[in-house]
Amino acid sequence: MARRPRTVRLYAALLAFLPSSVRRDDGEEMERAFSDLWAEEGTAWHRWRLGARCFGRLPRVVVAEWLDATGLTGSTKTGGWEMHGWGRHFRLASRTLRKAPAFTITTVLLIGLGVGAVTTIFTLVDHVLLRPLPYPAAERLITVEMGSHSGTTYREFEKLEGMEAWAGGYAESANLTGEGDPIRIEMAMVSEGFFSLFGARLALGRLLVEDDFERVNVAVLSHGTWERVFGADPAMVGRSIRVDGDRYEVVGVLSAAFEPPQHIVPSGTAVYRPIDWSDERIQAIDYHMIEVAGRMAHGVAIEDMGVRLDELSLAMAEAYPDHHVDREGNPNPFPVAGLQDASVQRVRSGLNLLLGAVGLLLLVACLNVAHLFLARGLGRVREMAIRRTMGAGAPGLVQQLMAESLVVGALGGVLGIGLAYLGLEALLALNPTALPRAGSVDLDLRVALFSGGVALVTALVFGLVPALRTIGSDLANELKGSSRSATAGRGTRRLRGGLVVAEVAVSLVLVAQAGLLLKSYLNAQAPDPGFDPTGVWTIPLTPTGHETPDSYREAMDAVLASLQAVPGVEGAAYGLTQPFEFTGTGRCCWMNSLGEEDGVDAERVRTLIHPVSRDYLKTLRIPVLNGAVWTEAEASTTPAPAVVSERFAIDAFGSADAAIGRVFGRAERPRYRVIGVAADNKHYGLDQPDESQVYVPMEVLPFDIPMAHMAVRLRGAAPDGLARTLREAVWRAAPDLPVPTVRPMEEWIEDSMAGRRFDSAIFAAFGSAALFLAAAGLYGTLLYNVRQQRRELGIRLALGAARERVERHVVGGGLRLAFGGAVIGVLASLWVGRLLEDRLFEVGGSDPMALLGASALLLGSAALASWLPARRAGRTDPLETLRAE
Amino acid sequence: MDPHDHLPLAPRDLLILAVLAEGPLHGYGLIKAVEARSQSGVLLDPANLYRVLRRMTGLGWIRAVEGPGDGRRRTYEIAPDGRTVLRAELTRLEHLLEQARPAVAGS
Repeated sequence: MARRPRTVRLYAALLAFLPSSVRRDDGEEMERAFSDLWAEEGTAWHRWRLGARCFGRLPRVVVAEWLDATGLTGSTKTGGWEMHGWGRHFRLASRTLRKAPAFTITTVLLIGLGVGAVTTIFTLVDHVLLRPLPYPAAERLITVEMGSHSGTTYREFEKLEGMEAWAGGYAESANLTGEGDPIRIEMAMVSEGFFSLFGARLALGRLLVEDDFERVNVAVLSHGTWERVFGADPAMVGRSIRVDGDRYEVVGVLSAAFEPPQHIVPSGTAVYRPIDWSDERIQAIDYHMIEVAGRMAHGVAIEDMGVRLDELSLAMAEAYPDHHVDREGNPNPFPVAGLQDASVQRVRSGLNLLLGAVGLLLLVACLNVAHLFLARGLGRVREMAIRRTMGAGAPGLVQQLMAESLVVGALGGVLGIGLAYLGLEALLALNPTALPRAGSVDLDLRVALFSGGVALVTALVFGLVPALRTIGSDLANELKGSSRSATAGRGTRRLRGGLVVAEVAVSLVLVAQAGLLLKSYLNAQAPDPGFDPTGVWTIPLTPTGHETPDSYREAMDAVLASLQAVPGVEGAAYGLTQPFEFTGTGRCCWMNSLGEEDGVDAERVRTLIHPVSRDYLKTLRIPVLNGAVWTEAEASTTPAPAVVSERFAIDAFGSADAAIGRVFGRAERPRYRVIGVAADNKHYGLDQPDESQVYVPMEVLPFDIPMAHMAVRLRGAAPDGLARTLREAVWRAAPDLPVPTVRPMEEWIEDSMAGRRFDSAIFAAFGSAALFLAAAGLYGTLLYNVRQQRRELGIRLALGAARERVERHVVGGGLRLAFGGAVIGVLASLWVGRLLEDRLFEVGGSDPMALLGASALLLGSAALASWLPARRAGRTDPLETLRAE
Repeated sequence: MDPHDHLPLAPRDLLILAVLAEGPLHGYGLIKAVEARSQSGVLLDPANLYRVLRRMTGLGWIRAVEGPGDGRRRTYEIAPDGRTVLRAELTRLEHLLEQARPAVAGS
């Protein structure tokens, strides 16, 4: 069944606010009717009006239904609200609010904005962090961290007591050929218990069985692949597919509901096949490949498993002293963690940060709502007093005010949910940090209830509480008409002042953090990548199915020649990887430790061994500082020639000069002879340290690796259709090779900044919203004070006080409040900045520039917000004000 | 039942009854039919519509008919009491018009 449009789902979610009896009887019909209305052809304007009508009327119907359901209204003759009890209050409330549109619209907007922002972020947090993983007995699922494990280690895990089942797997990019254009997919190699551990269900055929692990060439397809690549062929089972040149028989298709465990295999995994346990690499103790998860037996605590894994770690260290111990000779640990924690660890701090920021924004919005209610309440003091003398009881008045708050809250809640629905769409489109489980994120009943609750509580607390002051005020005093006296509102003025101080403080925190993140983003952009990315285009390829390293190299050399022949290309080269391909958590290639036997510094140097074609350094314009790159004749000599990065030369041999001519490498691996030293460059991101690297000829590749990154340097600007031209050039040399992407190097660099850009953008957005709200709050408060003090100001001016003096008085009052808020805000920022520190690049959490900048911005806005009311105060006409009293 | 207890009808109620008097309809059909007929700008939304339908069902003016089979829409048809009320309201409105029209006709 096709998925319903988002708007329909939103409407359905909101229907959840109806009483259950109504929802049960008519909920489905309402949703269907709305769905049909929404499906009509029509202009955007038509839709907008339809949406406004259906969503806008919903709160009223919800309130009315609840009043009916709880018996608070009398007869239901007209279907409206009868004129007694709560129904009357709500009716009256809607009428009063309609008469004060400026107030109503502003409060609803404020609550809507706050709730919308919080709901958006909360939805993400709820889906990513809070919900249990969609697997049976998910609370008992654990994983062993510290990277992946060898096949041998995995078998040892399986022998541990206290576990019900284990699953292991790993994934590789592969080429699916023979179905139209060759495409690049993710193929997962999984263990026997994988599907049962994660409760996979099927759409077709069967899952993997014991026998499949004998012959390996069977496959289970993901639902998406079955639909997209094979047109949902009902006769899929038994068909054979070609992956990386090998044939696999399809035995089953997974159900659409199956979400692959992202800790083990990528979410887009297309094909699953059995792990080939007979593969030498899988058996090798130092080939760490397999990610694991397991389910603990009932009654086993995660700490018990921790103890057992510690024991196993000791035993492994004893059995494999060469491989399972670290530099200091300690056994490699097997840290245990809940699978859910492990899956979301990477994003947890980021999401919590967002939640915190958005919470502060909601707080500022709430404080402004309080301002508005307070101001409105004061304007109605006389009205309330009169109503009380006319016999209205205090409870009745309280109910009346409560009804107003609730109506505003309900409207704000609906607006907020609508905004959240738009916000979520935008946020997911950015998907800044590749959130796990992002695909399943959607607004739903839980979240709708959450936002509804937030909106109502907001309205009640920040609306009703200030309004209540109105009722408590001194009756006789009000009726005597002295409400304008300077003294009457002192308590209220203090309260308003307090609100302003709080707003300024909270906004300052947000603005200061935005400043920190922005500065960190700019800092992270500043470092020189160490090569010249301008005019370089890259083409990542996955040449699979080559029997020998030689045939791989021949094929890639052919592609290289074809690319070099493209007009406008100055030069081309390729390497096993490329800078900025792996940013974030990914790592690539051989990280070799070097032996002491070579006279290398006793502390083992870890480096990136990077096989490249001869022109690689020239194409990327990485300067060679010392020596030279190998000649074609040298490439196949032993020990193999190597150009090392300056950093490696210094780490391993003490200096760039000392490196030339040295030989290094571990006994059982290829050994290298240093013939040149190249300048350092960034490999994993501009904000990462320069990577220690060793460039070696492609000829040293001991086995084929299905990776090759073509880099092309252009002579001038990129001509139109360059991507297409380059793609075709690849295909001329290798017709079956998928070319998933052709893009400029600068884009890779830009992508590596996406996380920081997102952090600072969202804080800048929240910060400026808070700043605006704080300024608006201050402006409103001062304006109100000026109005209240009109008589006082009038007298002063009449007595000859200078206009400037009066103005200064008002501005001073505003700045005093803002200053108080700023002091509190700076202190709070110092504390909050500490929480942020691990996300910052070359900026301290208490960076004085950020704090000063934020304070200056806040105080500047405060001065502006005070100046306008001050001018009005200065223009007070003494005679007129006195006459008006 | 004395239909006059319920008069005057709200324009929305009158239109719903009038539309149902011509034949049974489901919710979406009702919204469209009322919209098509109403120059006075009576535009219904699902939540409100079903609230009205529930009330009218309770009063015995209309009857819900479950669609055949699962997943089919529920339709509503007018009941004899509903017709009585509709007729009474129309008679009332006609009288009203008769009395009011001369005032405009002459001018």
